[in-house]
Amino acid sequence: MSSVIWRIVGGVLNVGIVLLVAPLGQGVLRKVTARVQSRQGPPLWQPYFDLLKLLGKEDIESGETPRMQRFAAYLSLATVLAVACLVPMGFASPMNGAADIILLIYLLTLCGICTLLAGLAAGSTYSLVGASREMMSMIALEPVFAIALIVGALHTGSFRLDTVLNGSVYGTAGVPWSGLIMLAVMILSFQAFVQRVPFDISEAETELMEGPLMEYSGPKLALFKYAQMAKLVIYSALFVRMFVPWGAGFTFPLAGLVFWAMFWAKVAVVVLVVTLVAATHARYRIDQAIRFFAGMFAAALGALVLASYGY
Amino acid sequence: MSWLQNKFEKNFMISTVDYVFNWARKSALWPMTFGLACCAIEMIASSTARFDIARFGSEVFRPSPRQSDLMIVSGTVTLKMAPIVKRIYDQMPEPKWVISMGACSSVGGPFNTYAVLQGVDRIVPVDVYVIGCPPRPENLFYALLKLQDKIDTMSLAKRPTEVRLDESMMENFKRQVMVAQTMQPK
Ligand code: SF4
Repeated sequence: MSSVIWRIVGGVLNVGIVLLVAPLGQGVLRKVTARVQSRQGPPLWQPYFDLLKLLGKEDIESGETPRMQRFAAYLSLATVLAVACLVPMGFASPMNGAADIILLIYLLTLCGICTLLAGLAAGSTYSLVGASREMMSMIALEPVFAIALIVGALHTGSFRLDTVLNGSVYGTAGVPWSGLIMLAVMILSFQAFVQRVPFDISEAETELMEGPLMEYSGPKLALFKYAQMAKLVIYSALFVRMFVPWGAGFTFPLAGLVFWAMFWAKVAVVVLVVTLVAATHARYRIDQAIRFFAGMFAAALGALVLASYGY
Repeated sequence: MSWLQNKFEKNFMISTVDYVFNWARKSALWPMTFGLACCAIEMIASSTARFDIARFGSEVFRPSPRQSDLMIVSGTVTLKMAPIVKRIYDQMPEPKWVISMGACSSVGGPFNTYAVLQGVDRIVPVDVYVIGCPPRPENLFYALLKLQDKIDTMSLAKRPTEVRLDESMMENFKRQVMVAQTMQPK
């Protein structure tokens, strides 16, 4: 019984942390981008204002199928927050016994599907183009993350969240080749997972006018924006847990806090790297990006083969 | 928040919520990305590194009217463009504001001709007028700050855009459009 309660408390805690931290991550991103472009930039807490303002605006349902639009908006934030319950954020994953990495992969794919639904439901020309781009990059990209998780599962022989999300990609004797390849692949395609600049092709603001999100106004746009911000934090947390989990051996009272702080420091570093890449790169065209993703996918498949032979 | 409007008298709850929402609203004014003439160049300049409109929270120029709060009418509003400007304004969700930037969009500027709308306030309610031909980015920022002051006095319990077109304005506008289309000025 008490374990159930702890699970609920942990889940709520994770969701709360993500909801609190996500706009801050976005704020850091915008501030650093501004500084890179030698601007002063908006204040750090600007994204909180943005969200609050959007929540207080009129909600125009102007798409083809308003009901679907509504559904997509709620689902996108809901899936991202469900993922937040599965990811260990500085302490053990709250839903450890209740879910495994297969569910994690499903939910991560569902995040992309929401954008797709949003674009299709809105039904304007721009959003349809955005949706088709999203679909193309999703098909090329989602397997890469799944393979990273499966490589970990192969090494540990388990689908459990706590064993796989614990640096298990390196879990071999000798040089962990498959893990290193996956690390390189993940670093190279990380911008695409969090939909930041070189790969924000599906909602390219300057050419597609936000693509799938074009017809959304007010609260629904806020939900989408919130989901996108939360994605950055969650994917960073996943990345840290999968590839740089060191320090997990500490036990709770004091050392646990140190570990917790270390975890969030690492997440902050990942967010900063994402920002710097985003601020200094130009967007790729969709065909360039697909070619790039195909290369990443091939490398990831190679890593999978290596992993199945135990390297 | 439309379900809240005009439902309450002012009370303590409302004014506290007002304060928070106004704070967010005035700190996150997203302008619409569109420019009509030379003034637009100065508007673009205001988002560059030297002037940096991001400091006022208005860095996010939205390409879609559904997502923007602020229409900066920057430049000459020709009669051909006027219906489109009006339509864009109608597509924006409440609460929405309009800054009329430059002499042209405020009063027609140097173009007192059959083809130019003599002031954009004939088709949309304008909150702040900026003088100049073109106004410098600093002028635009001053207008932005004035607008923020105006937003501070807003309340959730009232409709945000009180000023509406009266019918005579609309008639006048229609006549002008007709004049421009038939090429027979009366
Ligand atoms: S006010 Fe002057 S600068 Fe602005 S659009 Fe008119 S002519 Fe151009």
